[in-house]
Amino acid sequence: MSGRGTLARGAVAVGICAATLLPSAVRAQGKAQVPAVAPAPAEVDAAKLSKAPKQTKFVEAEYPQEAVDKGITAEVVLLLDISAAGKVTGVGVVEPATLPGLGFDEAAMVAAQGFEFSPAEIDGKPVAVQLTYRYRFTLKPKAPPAPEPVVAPEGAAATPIAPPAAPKPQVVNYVGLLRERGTRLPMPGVLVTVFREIDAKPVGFEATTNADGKFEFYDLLPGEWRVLIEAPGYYPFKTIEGIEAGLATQVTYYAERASYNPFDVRVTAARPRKEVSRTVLAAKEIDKIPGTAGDPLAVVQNFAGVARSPLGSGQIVVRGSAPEDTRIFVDGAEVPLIYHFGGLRSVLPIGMLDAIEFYPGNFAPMYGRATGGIIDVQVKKLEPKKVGGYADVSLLDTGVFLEVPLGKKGGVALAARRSYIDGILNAVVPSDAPVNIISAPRYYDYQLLANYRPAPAHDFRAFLFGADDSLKLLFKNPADLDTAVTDNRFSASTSFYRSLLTYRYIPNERFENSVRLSQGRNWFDFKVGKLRFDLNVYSTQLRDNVRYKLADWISVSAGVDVLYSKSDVNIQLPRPPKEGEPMGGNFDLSDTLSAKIDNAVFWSPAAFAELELRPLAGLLILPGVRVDHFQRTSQSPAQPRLTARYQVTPQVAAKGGVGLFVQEPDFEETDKSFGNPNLKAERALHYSAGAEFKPRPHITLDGTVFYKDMSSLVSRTDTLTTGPMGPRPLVYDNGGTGRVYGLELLFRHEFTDKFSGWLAYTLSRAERRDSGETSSRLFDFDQTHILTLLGSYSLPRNWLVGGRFRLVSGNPITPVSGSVFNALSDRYDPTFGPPNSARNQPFHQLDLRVDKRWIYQSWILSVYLDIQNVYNRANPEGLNYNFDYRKSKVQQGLPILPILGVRGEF
Amino acid sequence: MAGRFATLTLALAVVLASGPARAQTLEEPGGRQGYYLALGGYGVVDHTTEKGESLGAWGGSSFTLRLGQLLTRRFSLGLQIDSGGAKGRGQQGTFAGLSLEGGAAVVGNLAVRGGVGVGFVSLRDPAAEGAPTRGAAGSYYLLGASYDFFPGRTRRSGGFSISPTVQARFLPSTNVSTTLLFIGVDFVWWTGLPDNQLNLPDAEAYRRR
Repeated sequence: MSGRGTLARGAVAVGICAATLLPSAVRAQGKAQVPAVAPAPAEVDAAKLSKAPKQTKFVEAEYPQEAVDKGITAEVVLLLDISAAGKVTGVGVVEPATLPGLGFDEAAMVAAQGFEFSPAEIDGKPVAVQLTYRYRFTLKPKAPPAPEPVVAPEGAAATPIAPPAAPKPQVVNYVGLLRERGTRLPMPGVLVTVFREIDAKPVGFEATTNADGKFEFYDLLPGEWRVLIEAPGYYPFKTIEGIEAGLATQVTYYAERASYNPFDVRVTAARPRKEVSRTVLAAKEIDKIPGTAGDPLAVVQNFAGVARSPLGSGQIVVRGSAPEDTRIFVDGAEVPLIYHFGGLRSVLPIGMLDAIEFYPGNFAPMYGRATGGIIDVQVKKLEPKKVGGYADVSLLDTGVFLEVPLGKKGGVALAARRSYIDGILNAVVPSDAPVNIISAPRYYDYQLLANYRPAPAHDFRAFLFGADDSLKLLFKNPADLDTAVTDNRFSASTSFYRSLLTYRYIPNERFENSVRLSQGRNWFDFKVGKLRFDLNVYSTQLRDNVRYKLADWISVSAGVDVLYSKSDVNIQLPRPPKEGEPMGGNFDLSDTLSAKIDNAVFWSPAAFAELELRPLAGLLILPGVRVDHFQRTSQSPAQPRLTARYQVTPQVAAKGGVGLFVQEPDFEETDKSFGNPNLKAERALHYSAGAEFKPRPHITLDGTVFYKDMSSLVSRTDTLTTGPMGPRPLVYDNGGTGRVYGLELLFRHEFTDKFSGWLAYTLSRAERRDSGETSSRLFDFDQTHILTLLGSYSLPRNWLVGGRFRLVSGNPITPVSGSVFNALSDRYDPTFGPPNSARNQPFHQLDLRVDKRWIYQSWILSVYLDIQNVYNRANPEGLNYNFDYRKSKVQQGLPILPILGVRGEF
Repeated sequence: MAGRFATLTLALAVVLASGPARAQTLEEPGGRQGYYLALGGYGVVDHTTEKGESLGAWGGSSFTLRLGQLLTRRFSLGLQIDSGGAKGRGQQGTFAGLSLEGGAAVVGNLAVRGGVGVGFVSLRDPAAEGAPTRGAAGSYYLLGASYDFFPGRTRRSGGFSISPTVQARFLPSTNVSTTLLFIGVDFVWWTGLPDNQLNLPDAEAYRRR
């Protein structure tokens, strides 16, 4: 849209008004009022819009007479709610006129109600959006009478107003591009003003930049012109430009944003929210969360319902379920891990991410093979407008990211990262240390993403990603190790890759189909002396999901999810301790079991279906079912699930869900050498109910009570069974049960132009009853209270500060009641009290983060300092005992740790 | 105690920063503007306790490097690196730290600052040959005040200032805790603001780029 040509400076006359769609028209939604429509709108990044709204009808506001008489001009910034049909459904004032009481605000609001727009679109579908709109009241010069302004054509050439232009061919002699400093993105819809004095009379012209940030002036008289560019949210750009006769002046200007904080791009669009409990965090918000050292996926541990995992474990414990009961997906494809080395770093960089979706329970039937929660990492939809990228250097590693547009229909991005902790350790570990670090610990990861949309209905995506971790140690004195270890080498490595192809077809509002095919390999290798664990898994997963809208009140979704894997396993290990058994107890390294399996093939096909019923206004009911076939347990359990959500008022919603969730036992539990091949699948019934209150568009209060009833849990048993070689231990059976119940509260301030943060509190109790036991015990990670308070605040001059405070109950521990000398192994063996009958001291920790950005013409430099455990709390992670278990010392967690990082992006 | 202090520091930082000037509001030119780089020399009074026992007050000296930026007309954020030593009662102590610092101009050019970071202190008895070095590493807190004099300032924005400074630091730990009092002078260079962020007369604001 181009502004009408109006004299900007030095003229007084009866007025016309000029309206300008702001360059940040789909930004700065922080103060927005969300349209009062149900279902509640969800946030969508502005970059997701395939088509921006464009004004098709303008209504001129009535200029307040008093202001005309006094020669007062004004600007009013409005916030418009625009429906999917392009109609203005709501108008609010974001920035009122400087002089109150003259009626500018009211006049602008009345006029804006008559505006019309071509609708904004996402993937070809019209969506409701909010946009800010600057309504400018200006006065036309009285004398000499200005010619009637001519609306500039698309491309926004300016129309001279004074002095009157002679009727001659127009010659463009001043052309410019306006870009944002640092990002080099074009700035559309910005008013560019040139002015000077001619014969002691002020003369000025305006042009509006087009979609490419281009502006043009024609027939400017030779000489020096002052140039003024004042875009809202940007520092003014002022310069002097010389125009020479017969020559066209070409320039590129870079306007500096007042704030380059990550929270200033936002669009709201109506997207129904279906799940009872779901937390979604956009990448822009994730990136700056304190305590994560810039790592995007470390944020998962701050969600309500997630227990604090022990230092260096990288485990994700959701609502009292074991870590292996929670599945991790990347764009719908299951991956074995998301962290390098026990949570040190995640395997995906921020540049590849769009959002993280977290479901602590009652998840949809499209997800399965899990009785805990789901983490689905959404990969970025590539729509780069320029070649861009970043290099990120921290004390841990260095990563690079590059994205390149493929015309206007897609893009390609690649990234890689490598740690250098091994180099640092090799340099600092003294030569007389008892261990040589051969490779310790080293990790790298890589990603290649391509996205192509030949037409709005078709979206193709290919994503290849992988990671590799390695640790090798050489102990100088083998006597330091257990006598069962015959070698002084220790090595552990983990590596995986996934290639993921996705095709999404959305021809119209009624039909949608997504097909995903992933293929990959997981490889775990662990060796110390004669002990080894070598697992090589090739897996392929096919997922197809169809959604069809039968009528306004009913839609159906259905699909298949087939997992195929082929494994080679070579194990020589002691039987691993089960959950509830103390680590380091009767763990006899000389008593090992062996298994060697080649080409073990497993199929796990599943089908799922779900209805979306809207029988009443505001009521959404989602009955569904999933049927999995588990080859190892020879079962095909049907898992009915039901969730419902009722939008009581635009601000208040009630929600609830119940469902059955089933998963196979772990591989070693069904192995005939290590476990019991006749085990059955574990089951969990999820119940949850809650309410949401959204008093402001960016504030959410969410409360959920939950109960999880677990049965057929794999549990250690002393029972003997009869085999071909005579009686042998059954080892495991399905006699375990458990229950988890609690309350989750979330008070979240979603990102606005300044602040983002939340307070999450979980009150819960997780119990297990092992096979053959009559009483329950606490789960290993039962944490009664989990409080997380975090926030980031954007300060002027491109500073961002943030803090995270956590207060968590200590984990249960099994106390050592005494010890017995074992003459065979020549050591003391501990005797234990009741399992998990004591607790560590509570955990609390404060983390701070400060980011500073420097904006250069075509790139941005960021430096961050993330200080973890600011007040150096000695948090207990367990107890270390002396040789005869008579003395113990608290094992301390992370001390104060500053991590400095630098990032350059262009 | 240390935890409450750090939490209070964070809360103060958020409160102090909660009302910044509007981003694109232009500022009147002045001395305390833009980035700052300060080098300071101080006399130090060090009071250390070891396992709860006071080791007395020691004298020493310290050097400090501070760098940061004025976020608004009043508030600043930056980093401070300091290093120094002190001795007394036959013992020597050295200390160093890296801290985040936040500052606020209270009246005119009088500013107070507070911060938190990581530091260490080490103690040794030079007379006891072979005696192990004792010490502690951990959280490092600071509180201070300074006044900026701009002698003969000629720049429109920014310039050189001489700043008398008083500062206290505290490093608590289980075995060794140290409180340091610094008195000295900072020599500060303020870069000033670029023209597009200053409220200038048109004759100066419009210049050929």
